[in-house]
Amino acid sequence: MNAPLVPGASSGPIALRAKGLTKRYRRGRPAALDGIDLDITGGGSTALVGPNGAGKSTLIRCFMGFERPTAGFVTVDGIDPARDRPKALSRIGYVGQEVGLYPQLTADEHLELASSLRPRFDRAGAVERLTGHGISRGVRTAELSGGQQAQVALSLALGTRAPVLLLDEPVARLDPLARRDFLTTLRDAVRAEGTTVLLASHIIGDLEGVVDSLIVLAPAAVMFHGSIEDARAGHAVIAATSEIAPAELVASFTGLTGRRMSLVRRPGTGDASLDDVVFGYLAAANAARAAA
Amino acid sequence: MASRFRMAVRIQRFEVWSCVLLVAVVGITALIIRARLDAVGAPVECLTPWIFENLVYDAARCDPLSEAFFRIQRDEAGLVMTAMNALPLVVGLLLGVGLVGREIEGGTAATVWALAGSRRRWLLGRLLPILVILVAVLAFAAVATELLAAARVPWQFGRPSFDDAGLHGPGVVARGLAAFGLALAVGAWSGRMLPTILLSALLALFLSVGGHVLLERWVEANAHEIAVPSWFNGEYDGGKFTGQFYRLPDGSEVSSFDIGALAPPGVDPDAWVAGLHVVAVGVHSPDYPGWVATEIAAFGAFGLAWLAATFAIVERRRPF
Repeated sequence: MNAPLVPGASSGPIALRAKGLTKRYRRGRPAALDGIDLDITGGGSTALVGPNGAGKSTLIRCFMGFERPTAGFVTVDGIDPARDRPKALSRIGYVGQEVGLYPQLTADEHLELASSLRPRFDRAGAVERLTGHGISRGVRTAELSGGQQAQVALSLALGTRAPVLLLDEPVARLDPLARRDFLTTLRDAVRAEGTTVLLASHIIGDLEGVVDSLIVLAPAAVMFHGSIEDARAGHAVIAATSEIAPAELVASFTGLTGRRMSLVRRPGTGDASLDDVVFGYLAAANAARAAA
Repeated sequence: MASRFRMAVRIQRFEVWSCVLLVAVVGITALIIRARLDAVGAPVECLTPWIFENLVYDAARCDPLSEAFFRIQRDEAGLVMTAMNALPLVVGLLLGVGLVGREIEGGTAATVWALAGSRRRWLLGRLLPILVILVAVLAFAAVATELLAAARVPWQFGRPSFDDAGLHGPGVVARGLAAFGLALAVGAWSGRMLPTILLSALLALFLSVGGHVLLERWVEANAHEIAVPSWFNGEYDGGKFTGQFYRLPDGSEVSSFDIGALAPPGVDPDAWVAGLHVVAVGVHSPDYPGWVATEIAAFGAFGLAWLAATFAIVERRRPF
């Protein structure tokens, strides 16, 4: 069983790059990210999936300049946030795990605040977006639903008109309807603007139709990076008892039915679901860790 | 800029209004008590007849007036001055604790730091409006209590007194700034409200004690011989004394404990001592501006140092 990385398939200017990125929060503790190499080309939407503790938030925080790499570096549109954070952040719109809104301020006041912090903030566009979702701009955000708060946070990020959007599990706490609204807004906005999106999420089922490519991050390492098309058409799930060439096998795992399954690489002929691909690569990471 | 000012106030409106209310209550009370002291209309010679030894003390006229004056001076004005021990510190803590600390705890720091890009610029935009409010409200308290302090010691005829040193005047603003800077830095460092409140309150207590220690040290360092014709005159010159002694005609200096034994034989010791020259050592009214300058410099520098530390902390820390 092996778990090779699949390099990012798309070509073009690199919007987000990680080179030998290692982040260790405390000396002697396992690294949150361990020598990650990653290139994300501009103009596409990429999902960053992985279990808790895989390093998704750490990776995004490194791009934001919120965390300083222990080794290696990251760049945003060629700018290293560890060297010039303000310039790197001027290229980024961000939504975190917490919505990060002031409960005592209204949505309108949030837009006013954003305009005062970002001189070119697209307030009119943000107003239009909020109005389109039927969000009362004069109501304190504490009184808005979780889904509406997420929409306000997204409007703040989109209003920056930044070329890169980093979203750190913004839909994790939302109900399915609110998640769909959020992701639809995101998809429509970034398609129109050609924005580069990196979206960390646990919920794989929501991602299809929203993102173009997928990164599977197992604890501290990138297990898969490729287009959604490659992920689905390039893999198949077969019974573990079948004969599998070692080079084909990603990992074997127990499916929901209790049957032992294997994820195999079958470029062009596969029909795996995104769930299967993610699950298979995470199983490969677990197996590699167990072997180590 | 107006927008940033408005937003900064909106974000901290509870703290801002609490401070405004608190200072308004104390400041307006101080002004009312001052008016009440003035309204008593007690002439100085009624209040301190011992200063005006040659004046005839008109007990029938003076006793009701001085009783009314000292009741207000002690009970009411004294209460305001006691409150002034805490007011600048409370205002500084209230405004400083949540400015960065609550942003981090509430998760808004990540949003605004991402939007602003430059954290220095963000902090400056958040800090300046609150600093302006802090200075404005404490300046009101400083002026109101300055007026009250002057009315408490009419026998100083407008000259400053060390009686309520540190509780009125521009030193109040400096003390508030020190507490504000301290709370701000602790909040930025801890990123949690409860630990920040507890730790800042404890440190502010040390700050308050430090103010008293500073005054004592300053008085000791600046003490000099003050020529006064009598004990009482010395006491009521708005001074703060570190020592008093008698100077004998031969120039030698003797403490009040030993002087009685030196009276020549056959002479009434009390009459002999009364005729000796009293020397007081300490600081008095003309030295007061020096203390105020020291107080402002010490507390101001302390506050500014913590403000600078906050910039360094915010620049380096995580927004979580």
